[in-house]
Amino acid sequence: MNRRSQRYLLIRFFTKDPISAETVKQTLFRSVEDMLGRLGSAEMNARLIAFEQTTGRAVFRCEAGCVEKMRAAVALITHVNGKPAAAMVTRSSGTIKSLNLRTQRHRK
Amino acid sequence: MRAYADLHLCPPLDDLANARSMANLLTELETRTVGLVVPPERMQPCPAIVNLFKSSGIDVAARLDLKPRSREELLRGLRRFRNRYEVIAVECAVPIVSRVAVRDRRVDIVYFPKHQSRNIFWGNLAKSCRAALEFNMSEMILGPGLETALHRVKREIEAAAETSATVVGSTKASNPLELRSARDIAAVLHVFGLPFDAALRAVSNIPLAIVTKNRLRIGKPRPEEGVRILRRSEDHE
Repeated sequence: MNRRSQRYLLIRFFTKDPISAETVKQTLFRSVEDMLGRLGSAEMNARLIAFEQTTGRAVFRCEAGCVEKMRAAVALITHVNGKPAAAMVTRSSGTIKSLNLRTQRHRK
Repeated sequence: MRAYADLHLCPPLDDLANARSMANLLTELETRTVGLVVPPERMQPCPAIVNLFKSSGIDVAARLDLKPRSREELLRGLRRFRNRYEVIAVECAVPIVSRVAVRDRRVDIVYFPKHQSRNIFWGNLAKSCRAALEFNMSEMILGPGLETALHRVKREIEAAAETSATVVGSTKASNPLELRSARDIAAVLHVFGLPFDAALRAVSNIPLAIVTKNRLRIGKPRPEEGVRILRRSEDHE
C-alpha cells in the first residue's frame, strides 16, 4: 500500500493568556469535528506535531486533500478555553523541514 | 507570489496599541493591502493609524461604509464621497437600497448584514449585481447563530457562483482577535461552495483591482469617461 501524501501547517494561536499543547490540540480537533463531523475528522487525520508555547505557534499534519477544510476549521476558531482567541495558518508545506520552525517536539 | 488584501478593517482610529498589534499580525500573515474604514470627518488630517500601518509595510486604502436607509440617502452619499475614497462599500440592510446599490457602478462592494434575515443576496439581486459581494469573517463566525449564518453564506455563495458575481472576502476586524489569514478566508469560501480559483481571487486579485482602479480614478483628472492620460507630448503647454 502506498504511503498517503500529507501536508504540514504552521498555525499561529493568538490568545491573551498562555495555552498548553493539549488545549491547542483539543481546540482544533473540536473545531474540525464541529465543522466536518466525525467522519470528516477521521478522513482529515489531523495530528499535532509540535507546539511552541512562548510564541503560540503549532505544527499540525493532515491529509493532503483536506488542507482547505483544515484551514477553514482553523479560521472558525473563536475561543480557546472559553476565552476569545484567534487561530490562523501562516504557512503550509509538504515537509516539516521547510516550515523552518524551532519548536519543542510534542510527543503524544 | 500572490499578494493578499483585506479590504475591511475597522479598528478604533485612536487606539494605536491595538493598531500596532494588528499591523504586526498582518505583516506576519503577508497581507499587503488593507482597507481601513475612515469616517468622512476623520479624513483630514490623515489619522496616525494610517501612518502606523504604512510604516509596517502595509498599503492602506481609505474605505467608507455607507449605511443608507433609503435610495436617496445612498445616492447623496455616493455623490458626496465617491471621489474622496478608494473603496466605497454599501451595507444592504434595506431591500430598496440593495436593489440600487448592486446596480450602481460607483459602488465597489456590497455586503449584507447577518441580522437581516429577509434581505439576502439571491435571485434578481444576484443577476444584476455589478459590485463585488463581500463576506465578512468576523460577522460570520462571532456572536450567536453560527449555523444559521453559515447556511446563509452558503446560499449567497451559490447564488454568486451561479451568476458569476464577483466575491470579496474580508475580516471586518476591529482587534487582532478578529483577524484571519487571507488564505484561510479563501479556504472558508471554497469549503462553502465557491470554486477554488474564485476563492483565491476573492482575497487577492479582485480587492487589489478595486483599489488600483479607484486610485487611478482619484489620482488624475480624466478627459472623458473611460479615457485616461498616460503621458503628455513635449510641446504640450
